[in-house]
Amino acid sequence: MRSARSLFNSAVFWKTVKRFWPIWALYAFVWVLRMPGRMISASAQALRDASWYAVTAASETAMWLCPAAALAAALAVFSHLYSERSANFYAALPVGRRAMFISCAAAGIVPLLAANLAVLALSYVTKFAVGIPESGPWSGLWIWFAAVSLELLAYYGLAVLCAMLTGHKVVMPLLFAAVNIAAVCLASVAESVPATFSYGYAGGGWDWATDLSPLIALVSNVWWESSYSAPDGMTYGLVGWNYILAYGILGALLLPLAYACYRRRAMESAGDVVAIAPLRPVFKYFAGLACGFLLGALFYEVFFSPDRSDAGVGEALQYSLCMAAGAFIGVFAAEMLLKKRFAVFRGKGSYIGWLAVTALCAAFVFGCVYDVTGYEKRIPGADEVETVVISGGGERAELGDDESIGLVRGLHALAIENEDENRAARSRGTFVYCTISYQLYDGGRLERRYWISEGLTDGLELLDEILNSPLAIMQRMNARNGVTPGMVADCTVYYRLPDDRQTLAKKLSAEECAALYNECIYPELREGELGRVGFSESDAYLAENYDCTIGIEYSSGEYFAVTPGVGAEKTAERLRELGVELHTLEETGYAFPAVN
Amino acid sequence: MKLELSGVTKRFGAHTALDALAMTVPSGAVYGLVGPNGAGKTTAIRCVMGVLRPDAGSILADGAPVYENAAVKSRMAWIPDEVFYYPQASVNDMMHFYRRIYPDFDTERFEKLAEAFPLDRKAQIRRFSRGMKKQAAFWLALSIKPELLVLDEPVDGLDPVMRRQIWSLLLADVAERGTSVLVSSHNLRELEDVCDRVGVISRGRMLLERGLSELQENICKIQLVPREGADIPPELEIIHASGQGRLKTLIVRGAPEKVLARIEAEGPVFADALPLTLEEIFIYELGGEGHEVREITL
Repeated sequence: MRSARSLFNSAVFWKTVKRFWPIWALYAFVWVLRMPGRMISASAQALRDASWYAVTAASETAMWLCPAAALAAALAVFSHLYSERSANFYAALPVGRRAMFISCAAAGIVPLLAANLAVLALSYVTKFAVGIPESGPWSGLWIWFAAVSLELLAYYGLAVLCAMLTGHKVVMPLLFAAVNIAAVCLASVAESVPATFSYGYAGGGWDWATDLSPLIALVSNVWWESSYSAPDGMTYGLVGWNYILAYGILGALLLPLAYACYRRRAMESAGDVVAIAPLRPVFKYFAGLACGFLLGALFYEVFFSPDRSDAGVGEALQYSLCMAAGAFIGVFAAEMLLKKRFAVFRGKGSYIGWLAVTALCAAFVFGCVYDVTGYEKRIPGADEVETVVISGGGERAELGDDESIGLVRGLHALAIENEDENRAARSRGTFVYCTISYQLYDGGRLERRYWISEGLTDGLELLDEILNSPLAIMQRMNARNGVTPGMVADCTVYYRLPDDRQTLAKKLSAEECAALYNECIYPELREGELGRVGFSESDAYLAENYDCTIGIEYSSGEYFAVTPGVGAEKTAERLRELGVELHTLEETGYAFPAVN
Repeated sequence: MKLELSGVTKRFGAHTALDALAMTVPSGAVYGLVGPNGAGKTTAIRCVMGVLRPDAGSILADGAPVYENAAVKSRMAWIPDEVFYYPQASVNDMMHFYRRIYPDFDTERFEKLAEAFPLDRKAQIRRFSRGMKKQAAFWLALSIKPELLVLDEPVDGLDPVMRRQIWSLLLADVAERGTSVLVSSHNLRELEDVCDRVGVISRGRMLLERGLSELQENICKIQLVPREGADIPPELEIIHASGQGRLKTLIVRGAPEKVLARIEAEGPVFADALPLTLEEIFIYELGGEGHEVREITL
């Protein structure tokens, strides 16, 4: 039968808690200032809901304080692993590794959680003493406590694991920082390869990298929100609980993993960059791969000033060479850190490893060039697509009807067929930038972007047919079906005259505006005569559009703006009746219509 | 506590620090572990204390493995060459900590030992001199009432009076409580006075391990002026020979009486057997291991 002594050692626990009291005190002090302190200082001027103080603190201060406190705690309570003398002292004590790990790990997290509880209690006391109101079904203060405690656990589990993986107190915080952001950094660097070599590459699909970077994931997915409901009034809550909960659980699960590392850890590893022997080659080649991508992208940018519009095999070779140089630096720098000496260039092992890393990098580059995955040619079947978002000429529409989806697939196919012409047009600067994003029935998303040549008339006609269809116009313009004078806050028509650099503004009354909208603008939007988008500054575009913008500001704060073309006869006629002189862009000599 | 090491091997990367080391520290004995620098003494001690996990072999204390055995470790104390204390800790702080860690910690004994160690108990240990830190280490270690005390260069930095004081306390513990002491030191003259048993270690292997008296009885120094034209008897195992002119000094393996009797049988002009100090035994034994004193002209 195991005794309780083998699981936990109170002497080690209390000694560790007492030794590092400044960390717990500082952590508690910051929260006291941020929570009850802020309630007291703010109450004199403007009392806010208690939940507001709590959720803003949980979504703002916790984002930096939790990782910082968790790192400091883990570094402190396992600091004995980083010097030979202290490692020997701890290992010689009559305390088993399990009890030592549990006691030290508990000494790091328990005081922080106790500080949270103390701040919670103090916040309640302050709330009642100052008379701060609180609405909503859940107390914001408990939301704060739960969110902050889970985030602490998440970061603490990660920090303890990092503390186990290294034997160096300088490397440990660097490792913690790297683990928190590495996936996003590497993904964004790795993305530069398909962005350069894969035709049509539009990014996306790297969300997993954010999810694998705890700091980035929590910062970008956790925020506070307010909502209004009749019985409760304004209530405040926290968004991103799935992330907080998932990372909290992950942090808790990392602690047993950290213990497994602690059990295997050789005490002579104090001072080593990587403390767990089997992980040394992993560190070396991961460093090689990371530097291959990171420095490879940097070197390619610096030494070759690439023209991304026309990157082919030659450029891929250059990129691979740059990656090889980066991988060389990564592999041998890691070797230097592992061996703690600079003379690491003898012996075949590292060279073979470097060549393997280089081959992997080059395979990725040439895989993109030769489209081994079929990425460039992939067009989803019509039955796969639920909706499609297409943008061109600065306008964007989301379409879900079969006809529009069919047209977009046709445009997509045309863009693929005319790769060479489009690449050349991008190089010359004579293109229409277009993005396509399919939302698939299986929940996936397929995104592409193309620089469609202005000479590719079939393509531009298709784009025109898609974005200037009545359906697309109504969708793009988000047009209201009927406007009353009461809905209009302001209505101004901006226009210019030939040989006059001044923009003129004609204010319309709410009644004039409502009549203009209901009788002219809305019908012509539905007919596809108004709200059309142009794809270039061609002569036709300048001749067919007036140098004029109608701007309507609604009482709700929304804004509607439209430029009439010569085809929008009703609108043009009404504007003339209202005293607006209409001239085409060709006549005024401007490339874009007048705006405020 | 009886300590037994058998076939203990410990490697650090490509370097083999201990190579099938075998060693036995009898219960109630003072065991001197000696060897040249880098022989593996400190590694052996760290393995004995359960700090390092051997790659092979076993380390048993009273028949129980030491590594990850808190019950066994609670009966052992270690004073390393460089003693560690918590940075802000005083002797009193460490006493409180040890009292909760070691079940046999004797507060009464700790108070009694205060007379032997004139230290400020409330001052931070890190402000102590090296010798004072060693005193604090002995004070705390003896208060644990260990059954095995492991010492690595124990009296380095201590003044002669304190050395004598500490050895007297240790030997009293050995006599009264049967404490075993494993001591590694380069101060062989001092070891010679206290050790019952000696192990000479070189390149991670045990070169020889014997009782001190047995060791001294198995090797001798002979001063000899041989008869004109006579040779030294070839069957003698001569470890080292030196001397100018006709006077020779021989280090011979074997019992002094037997060796002298064999030499006298040749009718030398002069022959005498002298006892060897531990230091001399150490030097001559290791000479054969490539660790002799080299004559270098600069």
